Amino acid sequence: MGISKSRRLSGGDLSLAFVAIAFPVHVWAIINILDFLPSWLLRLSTWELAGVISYPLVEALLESCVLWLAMVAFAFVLPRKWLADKFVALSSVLVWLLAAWAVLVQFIFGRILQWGPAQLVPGFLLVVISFGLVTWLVQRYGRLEGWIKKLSQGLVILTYFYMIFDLLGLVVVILRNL
Amino acid sequence: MRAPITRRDFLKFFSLLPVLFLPLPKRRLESPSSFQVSGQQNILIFVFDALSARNMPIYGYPRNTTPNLARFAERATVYHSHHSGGNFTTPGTASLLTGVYPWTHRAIHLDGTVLESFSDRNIFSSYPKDGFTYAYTHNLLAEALLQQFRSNIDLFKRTRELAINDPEYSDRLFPSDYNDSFWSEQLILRGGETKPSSLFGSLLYRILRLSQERKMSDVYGPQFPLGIPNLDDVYFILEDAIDWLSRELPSARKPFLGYFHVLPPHEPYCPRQDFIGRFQDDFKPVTKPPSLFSQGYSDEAINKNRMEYDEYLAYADAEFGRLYDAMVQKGILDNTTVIVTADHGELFERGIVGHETPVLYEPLMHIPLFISVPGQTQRQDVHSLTSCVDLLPTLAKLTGQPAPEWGEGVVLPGFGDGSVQNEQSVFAVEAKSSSKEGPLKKLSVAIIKENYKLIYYRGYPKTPATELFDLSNDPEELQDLAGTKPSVAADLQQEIETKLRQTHSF
Repeated sequence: MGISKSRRLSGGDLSLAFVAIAFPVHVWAIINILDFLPSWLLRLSTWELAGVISYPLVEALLESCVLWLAMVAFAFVLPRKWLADKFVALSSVLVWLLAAWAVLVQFIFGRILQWGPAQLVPGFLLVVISFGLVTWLVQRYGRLEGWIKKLSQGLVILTYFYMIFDLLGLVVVILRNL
Repeated sequence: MRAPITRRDFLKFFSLLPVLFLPLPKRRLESPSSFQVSGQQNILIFVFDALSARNMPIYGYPRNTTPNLARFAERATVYHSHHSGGNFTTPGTASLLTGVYPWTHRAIHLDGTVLESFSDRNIFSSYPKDGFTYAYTHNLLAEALLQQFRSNIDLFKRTRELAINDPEYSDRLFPSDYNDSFWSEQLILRGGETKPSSLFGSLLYRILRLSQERKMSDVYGPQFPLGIPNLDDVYFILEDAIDWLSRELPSARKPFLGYFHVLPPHEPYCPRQDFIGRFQDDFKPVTKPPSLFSQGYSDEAINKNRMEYDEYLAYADAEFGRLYDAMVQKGILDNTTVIVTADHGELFERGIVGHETPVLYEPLMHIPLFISVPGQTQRQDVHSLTSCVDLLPTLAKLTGQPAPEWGEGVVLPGFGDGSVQNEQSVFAVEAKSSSKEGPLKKLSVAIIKENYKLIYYRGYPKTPATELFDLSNDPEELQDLAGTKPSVAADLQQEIETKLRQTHSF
């Protein structure tokens, strides 16, 4: 009981972390939806178009929720100082870094498949080191934490728009499946 | 004084950008009622995907790619000048199933579907209501169409049921909204020309798929050293589908209409081990100059692809042979009309391999058609010009019904009233860069009338407006006569433009 109280995260922190986590997931999704849009416009009616846009938005919402829940779970499981004390800054920056690596992998996935252990092991180590380094920097420099929080706050309005579209998407998905 | 636009303002507006791309609602055609007349005819339609008649010895090809289809042909009517309505699965299959050309049904895009008005105008809705309808396909593009017609299909066997992996999620998760959710699934997990929209989920999916592929490779790799037959993440072996059909046909509820659409010999060409190397011979096809739509393949690469296609076709033919033997043994041919055809052909010339191209040369349009009626023991040969849209009125005739009023085809020779229909023109349309509704601004259309074939291009600035060939004297389409026979070209072009105007496509 004592442990969970001492690790309790405020509602503000939780929502701010969610906003920051949802941002890269939605930016990636929207860019790629927009890339597909011209071919859809040729062949889909408005209602069909609403459907094909809604599913990926709902999936982006789901993906954001999973990542956020994972960060919340880590905050409870890991030692307090590692994550829970600076939850917003650390969860935001770790997910952004993860997203950056994921974007890179999206572009070079085919090449990675050709890699042997000589490339895979250093690559994996680089990823691990980058996470350790970022965590250490945020822990070490309070000013960095402040900047990251400020950036997360800056994303609130934008993410509200994404959330509105996600929820509209959810309604469309439900209506299309009734 | 107005405040300057802040970064936050900019981001707010940016997030609203997708709204600008939403089109206004468009008027749809009204749905007609389907006709209902009783009939007692079992009909099995067996479709090979991307099977060009030009690669079959029965149509003059020097390699013996289809000995089993030749056996079947000995008790069937063989149509020697049969043509598809399009050059890839969606328009070709939709024309076969609806009896109209792509400018009318408008399934003209990859993953496209027909206009809503054709959801109830197809071979399944036209089959007598006291009969039973079955459908199966390996091809997810054809499945999108069958899903659209599923209210008229009594037993719709899903692609996954005869595949060796589980290729999709949307039909399980969103069965009431299959097509939209499938298109979204493609975007979310697989992408295409662009990246998938799911940043993390798609990577997990790819890793999962790789692990599945490795497991499948361990089991089937030795049998299929060039790759396990697949398309769009669906992996299958044709043997499973043939076994299922051989088992099901004798016990199928009768009378039935069965539509069975298998992927081979569609690319990627993955022949079984025992067919690899079968056609390493001296055959040298006619060399043709590169098309303006050339994909840059050298003649050597084209011939290598052709050889692999022929090997894959021979494998598909061998499996058809097993089905044919089972049908003979179990007496299926005594009470069932069996139709064997293809949705479109395949091209190996002019720098092009496959069928993802705007061109409409004969190897893409000329497809096989064999029809064996119950008790038929002699082969018949029909050389008249026929089209896949003729199948629907022919099936109506076979089941004792009037031809559907919407169809653009005629009853096939051999099934009609005996009148000669030499004057019929047949068409094929490629318009995947045009809008589903409204004018087809970018398209190619081929018309064949008597000996002449005109290919008409619209919206391609670098191509000539037309190409004209005399198919009786130049079956390889080597000599463009558009300049030397302008009146013939003009007449055929006018016929195409009239059709386009009639279908609001011009």
